[in-house]
Amino acid sequence: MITFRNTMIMNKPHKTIKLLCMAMVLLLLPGCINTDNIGESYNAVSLENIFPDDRAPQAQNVTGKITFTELNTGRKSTFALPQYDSFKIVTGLYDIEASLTIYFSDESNVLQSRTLRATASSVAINGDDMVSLKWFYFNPSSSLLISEIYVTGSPDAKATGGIRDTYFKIYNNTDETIYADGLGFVESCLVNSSTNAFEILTERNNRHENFSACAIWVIPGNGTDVPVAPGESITIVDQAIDWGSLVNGGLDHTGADFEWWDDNKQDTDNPSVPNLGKWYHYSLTIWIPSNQCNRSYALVRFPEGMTAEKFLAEYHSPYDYISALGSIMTNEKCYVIPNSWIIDGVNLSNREKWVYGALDESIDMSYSSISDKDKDPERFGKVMRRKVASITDGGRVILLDTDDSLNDFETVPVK
Amino acid sequence: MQYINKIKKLAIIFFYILKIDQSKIKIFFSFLAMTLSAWISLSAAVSFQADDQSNVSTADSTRVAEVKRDSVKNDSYVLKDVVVTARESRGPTSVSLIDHAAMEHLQPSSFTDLLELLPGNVTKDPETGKANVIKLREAANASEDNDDYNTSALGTSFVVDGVPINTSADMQASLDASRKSRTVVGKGVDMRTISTDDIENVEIVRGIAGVEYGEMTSGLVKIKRKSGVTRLEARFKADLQSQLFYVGKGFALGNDWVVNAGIDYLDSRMDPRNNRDNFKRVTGSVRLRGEMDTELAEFIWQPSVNLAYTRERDENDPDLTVNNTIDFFRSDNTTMSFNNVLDVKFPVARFFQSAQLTQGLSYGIENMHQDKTVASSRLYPMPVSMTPGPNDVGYLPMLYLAELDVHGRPLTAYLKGSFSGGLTLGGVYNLVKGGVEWNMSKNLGNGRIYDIMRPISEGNTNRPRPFSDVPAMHQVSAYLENTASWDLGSQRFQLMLGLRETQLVHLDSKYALSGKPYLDPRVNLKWTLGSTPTDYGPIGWEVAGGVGQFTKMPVAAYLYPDLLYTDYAQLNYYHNVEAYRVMNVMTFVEDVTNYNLLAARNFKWEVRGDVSFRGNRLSVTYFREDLNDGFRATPTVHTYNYKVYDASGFDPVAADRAPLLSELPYVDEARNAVVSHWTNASRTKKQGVEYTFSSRRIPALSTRVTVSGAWMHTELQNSGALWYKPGVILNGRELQYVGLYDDTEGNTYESFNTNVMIDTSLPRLGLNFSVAVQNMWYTSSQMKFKTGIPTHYMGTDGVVLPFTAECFDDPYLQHLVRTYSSTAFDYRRVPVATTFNIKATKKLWNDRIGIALYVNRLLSIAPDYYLYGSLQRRYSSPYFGMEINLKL
Repeated sequence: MITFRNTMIMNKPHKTIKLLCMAMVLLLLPGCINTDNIGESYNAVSLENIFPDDRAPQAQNVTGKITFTELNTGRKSTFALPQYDSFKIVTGLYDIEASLTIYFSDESNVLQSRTLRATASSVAINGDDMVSLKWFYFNPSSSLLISEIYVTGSPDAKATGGIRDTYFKIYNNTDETIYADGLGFVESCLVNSSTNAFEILTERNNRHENFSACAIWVIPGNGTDVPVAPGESITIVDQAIDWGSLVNGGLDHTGADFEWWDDNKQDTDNPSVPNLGKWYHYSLTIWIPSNQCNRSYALVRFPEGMTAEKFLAEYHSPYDYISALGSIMTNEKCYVIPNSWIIDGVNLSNREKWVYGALDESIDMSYSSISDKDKDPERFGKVMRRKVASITDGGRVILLDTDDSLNDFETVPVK
Repeated sequence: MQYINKIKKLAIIFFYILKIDQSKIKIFFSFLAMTLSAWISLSAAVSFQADDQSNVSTADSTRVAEVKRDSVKNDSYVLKDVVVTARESRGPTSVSLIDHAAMEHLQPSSFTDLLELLPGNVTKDPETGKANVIKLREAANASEDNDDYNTSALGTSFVVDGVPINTSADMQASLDASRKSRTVVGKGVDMRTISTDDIENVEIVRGIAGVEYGEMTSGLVKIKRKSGVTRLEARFKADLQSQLFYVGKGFALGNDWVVNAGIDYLDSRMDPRNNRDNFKRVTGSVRLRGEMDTELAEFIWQPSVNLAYTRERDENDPDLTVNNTIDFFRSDNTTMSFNNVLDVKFPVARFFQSAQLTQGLSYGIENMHQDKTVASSRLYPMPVSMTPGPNDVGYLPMLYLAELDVHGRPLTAYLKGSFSGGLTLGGVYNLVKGGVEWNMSKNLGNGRIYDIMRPISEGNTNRPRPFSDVPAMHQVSAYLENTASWDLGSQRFQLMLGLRETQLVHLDSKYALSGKPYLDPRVNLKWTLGSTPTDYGPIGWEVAGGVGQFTKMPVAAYLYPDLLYTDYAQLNYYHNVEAYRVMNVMTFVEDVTNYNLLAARNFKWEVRGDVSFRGNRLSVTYFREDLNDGFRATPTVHTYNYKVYDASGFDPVAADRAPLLSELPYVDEARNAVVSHWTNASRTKKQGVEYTFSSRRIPALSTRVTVSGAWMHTELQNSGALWYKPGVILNGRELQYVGLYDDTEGNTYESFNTNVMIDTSLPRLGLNFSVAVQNMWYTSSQMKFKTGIPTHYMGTDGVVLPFTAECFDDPYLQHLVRTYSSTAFDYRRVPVATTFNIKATKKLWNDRIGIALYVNRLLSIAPDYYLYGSLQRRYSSPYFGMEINLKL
């Protein structure tokens, strides 16, 4: 206890002090009031459907379903389509997924069907509302597919990161040999994460039309040099070395089909594994695929006669975007690839950070995920692999391809 | 006691509401709240009581703060009151004076903390985890970490008892980018290392410093340490990050000698829970002062021995990592110095009033040590050759323990002879000062020592280098200054005219600086106008202004940069069979010394108006500074020619060996790269208005109001065209063009603040307390407009061509066009932020015991604001500390 020389004075503090303290407390009181308002209420939600222009004529029958997934509780509400009334939905934040199959007769009067899909993410429903859904034709491709994505790498010697024994596998999901010569393998400029969520302002970079790519690799060949037999795949790797001999648990890539080799003194070049062509990369550093698993990848079939020179001259497209902070930013290092050239694409993201992907919904309506958690330290050594849809009588594996990567991919340990 | 309890409760509720982590500091806060409330009630009561007895309390004042300015200036005066803020000097240029009472009230841990007293500055939490460099007269938000504009900090001279701190030989840098912020090469003095406890007073010359002082562009910090007989003083301070102990005493040895000795210890943790990331400092000094009177003159000899030791540690706990990985950083710096000042004072009647001989000698032992477990994520080829030409290199292991030692041994010597004389000529009194000085620095250290096969970072391109390679730097200067004073009626003029000449000597003749003299003329004029009488007393007027040139020589690290090692792969052949592998690189070793490097020069001018009325004083200064040739690492284009070998035709299995370069076909390859050279290409333009109003102590409340602040406008930009090479790969090759941009690369920063400090001094109770309201009205920044279009470009052939309209369509050249968004050059403004700080000191038992505490940001009002439609929230939490002072 401290003793003051004039202790008697303590008994007579001035009135203003009392008032001051009271005023301070009063000033701060509103901060303590709990304003949470808990309760559930149903809202009438109706749909505003935006259909593609070339809608199938004279539909004879339409069936479908729509699922509302509340993001906080995970509660799903599914309704059959078409529904002409509104849906009863509890207040919340929803991801919406809908599919619609249209049956119609073609010119020769044979019953045909086409499937449309629509998605919307993070839709806040708080009161009677109208949700607009943009429908697109769902057309699972039967061609070359990205079948395995290993971008985190096996755990390094410190067990804090991943080594670059990363690879991608491209699989022939058809019943005929396809030549992979000239096939492009591209990475998005955009990061599929809410912290990087932004809106592109430049019309040319609209993701519904074009894919904005920052790394463009091309499989070399003159047209028939790289055949991929039905059910077979080609593997592209970073460094084609036997990682197992360097780090416990590393993969052996000495037998890989291609290396993405960077002309950089920090890279190694295996003479027995051919290198991919590098049409474009936005940086001089070694290209490392998204270690946090939050970019998009696509396989591109360039039009006949497209050369690197021609592409580089015509498709350079810097873009403006609104950043997460609200200001307009520019990415000057971008090339665009028309969506029509893309034969398969996969968004990578995770449940925590997903808003939408760099790819148009018609290419991938969701995302493949290494973990629900963003930057999960446990993600190393895990591969995202396409699920098996069926196996033919001949033993050929048909992989699942519904252009819905959450549905198509599973995450499994690489070994 | 009843009231105390009530107020205590209120205070606790108050902190609850502020959402302070109660569990950890509850006890502390109860104590704090109790102490505070006691003080508030005491002072309020006493101040009203004091109203009746104001005469008594003034007379009773036991503490007299005496501030002696530089004795040569004959400008000493006595203040009857305690001043707990910085005072604006009465001299011809703008100087902030901070005396011991202000420091006692501020409760600093290092010199950094004193800077909040300068106009334009606000309170900052201590940041002992990184180097603290000084920024004078800069906007509060001007980017501190931008290394292109370090000249401002480098160009602030610290002078301790007449001896400048010379940092020219400092080369103590780590190769580990994550530890870069802890070192100060080319940034001047690290203020963390300066303890305040032995300081009697500080003068911070923001304006036009006299020509007696050189080696600066921005300003001068003059530190005068305690000298004289004192009680045994001890101080113990604790705050959220650190503890500080100090003990010091001044005692007499016989009639002629006074010895002052002091030692202090600071232990600071950036995070109190983590004792592996800390900064420790021990400083100590023994200072003697001997006086001898003879008939001819009075001799004052002041030798001192000083020691400063700092230890910085930043290390992980290997037991907490999965595989016991190590990340250990330690930096120990010991600086020993021996200084002598011999002052000879002559009887006033003669022209020569005094002569002074100042000598400084310091030696530093700087050891930085790092251990780091490096686990590569990829297999790195390992360029390690020290010789230029083709070299076969190996590969770095995936896991290894890297060790790095950096040994610096800076030695500096300083010698100065000066005189001052007085002469009255035709009613004008002339005070003449002159002198010559020699300043030497040399680093004798072994420099960076490490195993090149096990570098601290995988992508290392550096090589070990002994610092002792660098020749000593010698600087010789001379100055002459005349201060003329005369009266004209009731008006008084003081004109200070000075010229300083400085140059580097013993410099290789290849340098443009070799033998190049720099002349710094400086002028200050003070005009004291006659006072205007009013009914309530006279109003005093003063106008002052000055203009001057300032020069700072480059440091050793700029004049003698490391050799640059560049490697390009000629054959990259990582065969599956180990015996067949080859990695051949062409190593280029280049001297990147810029022999045309010159000194940085700042041109400053300022005008000041001063009004005083009944002990109240308002002082307003407008200043402009333009430093056009600040030091900067500027990109220059280098071309490298080497061969790329094609081993695709070679069959290693058939030959059963690795390919040989001599048998392989190759193509010639040329690459452009931009490489940094030290140049004078940074421009720093500063302007602003500084204002200080200090009231007299209102007798009824024993309270003084000080309002100070500044509007600061700082432009940081390049002063020459810059080369830029876009880092893109196009069709398998790096873009082989480099663009020359004439754009202004830089930003404009602005800040405007007002600090209001209300301090109450109750000498009867030995109590001082203050409430400071610091308002940063706004800070703003704006990027300078750039077109992004190069004027010229260069290919690998080295030919510079103009960038024409056709270039926009070229698939390669179009990448040289830089695009900026429509909002990139917008003016961005951060609105008002206000904080309330309280500080209190209390003396007990005849001033034998002093207790003090401070709470910064007790309350912080920083409203949310919108930036392009998105909400920006600002948070802050209080910072507090307390201390006890003993005078036994």
